[in-house]
Amino acid sequence: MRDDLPHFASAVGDPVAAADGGPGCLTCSDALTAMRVLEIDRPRELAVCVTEGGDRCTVDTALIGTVSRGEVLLVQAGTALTREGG
Amino acid sequence: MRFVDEFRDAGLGRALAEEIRALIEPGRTYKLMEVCGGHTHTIYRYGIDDLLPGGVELVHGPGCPVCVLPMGRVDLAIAIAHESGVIMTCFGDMLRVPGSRGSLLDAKARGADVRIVYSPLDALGIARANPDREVVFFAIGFETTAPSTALTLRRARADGIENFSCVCNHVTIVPPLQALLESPDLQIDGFVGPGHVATVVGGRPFEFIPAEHGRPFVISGFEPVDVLQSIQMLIAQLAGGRCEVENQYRRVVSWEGNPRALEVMGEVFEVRDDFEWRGLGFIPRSALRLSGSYERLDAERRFDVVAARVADPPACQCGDVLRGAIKPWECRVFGTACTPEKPIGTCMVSPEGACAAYYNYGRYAREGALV
Repeated sequence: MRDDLPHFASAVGDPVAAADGGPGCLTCSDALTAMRVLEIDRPRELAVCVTEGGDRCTVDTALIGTVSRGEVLLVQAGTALTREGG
Repeated sequence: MRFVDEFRDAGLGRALAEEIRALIEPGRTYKLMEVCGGHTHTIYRYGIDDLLPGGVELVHGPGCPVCVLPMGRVDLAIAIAHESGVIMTCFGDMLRVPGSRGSLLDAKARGADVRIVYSPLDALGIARANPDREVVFFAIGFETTAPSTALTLRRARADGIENFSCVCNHVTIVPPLQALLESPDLQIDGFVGPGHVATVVGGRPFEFIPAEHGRPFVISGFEPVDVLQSIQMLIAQLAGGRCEVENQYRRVVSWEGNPRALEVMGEVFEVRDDFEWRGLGFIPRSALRLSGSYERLDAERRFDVVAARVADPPACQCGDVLRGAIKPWECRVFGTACTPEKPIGTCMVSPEGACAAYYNYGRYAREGALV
């Protein structure tokens, strides 16, 4: 492991990380993506969210109740399953 | 980013590796199974394997939904995709999963309308935009993904979307763990548990593992420090003679899980009597299908097609990999006939698959390990 990086050094060649900015498959796997809430559509329980990498998408928030702008949600396949920090 | 940066801290990682080294009993082997493909990916992406002392061996479990999907289900999807007027939608990494007569990508090349979606909601959007076509969503995943499918089906029914249906391949994590634990040749000392499945189901469903099978279980996050800390917690349990379910991933997972997600899953799905798992065979009550009140949205009932049982290619040893019986590089076609560009087995298709993780991070053999 390298000492000159603030975080763990990634292994050589990481096509997945390069493609999606994070590890693993974001859709059908057991992976959640952290996304920040930008806009909220309360009647339809939807929110426009953005990833750390700047990708935006509409997220279904029906499973976690009321959300607030700026809150970080953990999202799987377009559905928020929980909030970061519990 | 908060909750990410601190869990990738190399100093913390090294400190945890030292704690593990101090806890292990000289001469003893600790065989730990990481259930999730996401954990396998983290282990090789960050070189965690190389930080562990020699006596700690990681075995890769069945927690990649693509990897456990049998070929017959892919054939079923392809058959529906070729039906007149159908738009088949699926997640990106399903596209290259081989069936007995090619993949969905091959079907697309032969003229079927197959489209990648990021979420089931996107598939429903395609149905709204194409009222004269039949839009089918190929649903796959464990309890993490199932709520998303369930919510979408509930929306489709509430909005009266008639041209939308779903091929349900959702599976549940406890039955395959039970099957593994009942296997006579099981040599696992403890489990690094599925953090994101536990976000939905909570910690309670895993209590039978220490209670009935005497193996410790730690629900784990997916950053490198999470995985190392979970291994440390497992070794500490084994060293201290304890055996229980612990939750390392408390910043995300509550003991009760997500009650709303469980409620919507209970409404939309029912448990299948049995389901075939690649490498593990038929496991009773291990998968979901649409419940009676949603049968109109069930593509398996809407289209006149049946999933047939298809044997894996003889050269493929995905089953042995998924049971933890062999390492990916011990498979006879790993890295030669079977690569991520041209996979034979499903473990090489998904980035979450153990074979793809080994291949992408240069783990071609134990002696040749990099990083």
